Amino acid sequence: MNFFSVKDLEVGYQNKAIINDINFNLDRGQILCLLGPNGCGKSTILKTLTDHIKLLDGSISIVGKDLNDLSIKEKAKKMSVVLTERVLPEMMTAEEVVATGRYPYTNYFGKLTNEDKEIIDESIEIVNGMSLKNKEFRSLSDGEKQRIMIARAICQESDIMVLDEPTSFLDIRFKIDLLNILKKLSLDKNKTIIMSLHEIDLISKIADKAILIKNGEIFKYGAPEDILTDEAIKEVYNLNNGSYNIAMGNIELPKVMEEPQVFVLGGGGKAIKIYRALNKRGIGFDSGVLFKNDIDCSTSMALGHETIIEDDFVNIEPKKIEMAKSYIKKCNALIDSGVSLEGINRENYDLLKFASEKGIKILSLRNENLDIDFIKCDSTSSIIKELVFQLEKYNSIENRLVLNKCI
Amino acid sequence: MNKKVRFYIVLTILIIFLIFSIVINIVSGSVDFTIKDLIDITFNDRELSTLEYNILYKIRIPRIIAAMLFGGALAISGFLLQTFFKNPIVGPYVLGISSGAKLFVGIFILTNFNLRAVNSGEVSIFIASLVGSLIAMVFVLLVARNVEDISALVVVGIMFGYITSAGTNLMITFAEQEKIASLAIWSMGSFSGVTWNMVKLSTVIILPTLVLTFCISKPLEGYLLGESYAKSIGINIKAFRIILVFLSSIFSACVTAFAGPISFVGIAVPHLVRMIIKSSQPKLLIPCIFLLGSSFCLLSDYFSRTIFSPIELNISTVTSFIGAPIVIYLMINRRKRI
Repeated sequence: MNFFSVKDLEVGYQNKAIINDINFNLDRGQILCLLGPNGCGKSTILKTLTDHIKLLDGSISIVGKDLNDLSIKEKAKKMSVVLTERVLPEMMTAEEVVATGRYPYTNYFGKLTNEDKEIIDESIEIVNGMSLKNKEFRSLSDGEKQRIMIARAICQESDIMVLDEPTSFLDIRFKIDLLNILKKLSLDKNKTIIMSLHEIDLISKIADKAILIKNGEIFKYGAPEDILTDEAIKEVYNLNNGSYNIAMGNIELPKVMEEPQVFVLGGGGKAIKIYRALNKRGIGFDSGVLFKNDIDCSTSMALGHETIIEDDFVNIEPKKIEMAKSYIKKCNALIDSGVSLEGINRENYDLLKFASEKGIKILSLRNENLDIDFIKCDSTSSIIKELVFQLEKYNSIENRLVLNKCI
Repeated sequence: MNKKVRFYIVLTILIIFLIFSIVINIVSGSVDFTIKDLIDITFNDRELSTLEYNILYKIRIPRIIAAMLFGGALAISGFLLQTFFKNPIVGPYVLGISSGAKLFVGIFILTNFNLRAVNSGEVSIFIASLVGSLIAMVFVLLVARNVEDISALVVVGIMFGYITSAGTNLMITFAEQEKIASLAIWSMGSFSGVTWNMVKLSTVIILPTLVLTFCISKPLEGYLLGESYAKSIGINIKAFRIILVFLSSIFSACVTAFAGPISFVGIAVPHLVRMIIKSSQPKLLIPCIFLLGSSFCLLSDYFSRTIFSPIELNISTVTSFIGAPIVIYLMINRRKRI
């Protein structure tokens, strides 16, 4: 029997279903992440699980027992929550806020025993909040408040924790810390964690299971490794512009639609920054010759006009070199990212030579000298600056030529 | 400072302050009665003269007990409403709950409507007042469901107050002369008409309600983080809301029935206490709020009797003079305090 299981759940507001047919099973200590665009119904599902919204149909059960058959107090011992809504209690210290998590365990007058106090301290310790303990809750920053709210949920000692976007408001360091804390809670304390996350790249690093939600339907459910694909993300988020690369965790903005003006000689990860800098300034580019497994490849494909790609670990076919040459010819400049010119990369040298012979300006980040003329730049920003300068010069000559012809 | 220690210090000071307020109310008035007399009577078995006996037992002592009970009740009622609405500037007077009670007591006084089942006039007045309070409360809750903004809610409360006043005025227009007078005196708000019967009934109503309020201090604390969290830690929200509304209505209804509508005690006192104790824990707040509410009303009553003696001011005049500036001050300083 599954520890936590949701069957044919239908969720929504006032009898109007938003999402149907929600089914999932979790064992003790598993982490489930819900992923989907804003407003797709993640929160509605979570709120239904925590009984803040009445479920419309289906069932939620813990160890085979229907959740709604439990008394409200038993339920509190089974499930704790961290919500997105902000709480602003007056005159309460962080410790007092955390202590409210002990509610289901304290006596009639809510007296905290020494054991309760230890658990409260331990919970605050887990979120690194000891320095905040005696501070007024309202005076804390958003991130600190979030940590305290998580400590509050931890000290409720429930088997299941439901968190609605727990990483919002957190900086990158605490985002990592938090996910680490949750991972530990699942491993050490066998807690089952259900949460919504916006960080696609983090999900596969923490979740055992994931649900992809696309407006009003469960798009995919399974192990994140299996269901989180570039295509699925593109589909769910309706990404017509820009791109997302699962393997790399890369987000790229929509590419520039202008005709390419520059050819980038990339490879070995040296050109990623250049691609992005060009795209940022609205300069179109072609790039090559990249091997399929090169980390430059996915960015170039996302942002570049044309990318010439060769299979992994083989010599570059002469056909591809000719293709590259034809692209170079059409460009006004070439950027050399400083890629290796040895081994299977040696054709890159030919391309540089070709550009130089055709009188195309070469801007390079290369340290060593070659028998080819190039303008040496020492950083990506300086190379872009130089490029803009060269392009302007070129364009003004071009304009003059056109003008002369007219006369 | 440790919150517990702070609480006990504050509690002691409040008790001393209450005793002080009681004493000055006993000794002052149109007939002087010195502290020495008081000590002699309590400790040295001095016999009371008939005049002294009448003044003390028929006038001052019931009035003092009433002021204590009513002040405490109003303050706690305000505290409960503030917890309920998660807003510091609400109270039974501001939300129009006292006005609802006023309208119903008005109907009761002006018409010859009487409850057959209860023979006592006091109980009937209380029931009329409670019904009025609850109707007003239900109205406020219905509005609160539709307005997110708490200031809108307060405006609605004030408007509701105007409606009930209009209703009362309408009745006055068609009422008999002598009944108008008694309604007018009552609606000004005063402890002067309080009889022993009223005091007894109020004690029976207010003290158990106070005990009940103290008994829900645990859910009251859990409620501080808002309803969603309260629910997640095991509070039965629906039941708790009903209890909260009922308790606060009983408090304010009882006061309004016997002393008329009294303003600002419900807002000012819980605030002052929170500021002094520097805590939101209901366990600590409730006793202190009741004590300070009592002292607040005793002092206000003292001023209302003595400032323009022998003319007596109505109690709301004094509580407004003291309470309204406190509320304004609090609203301005809320941000700075943190």
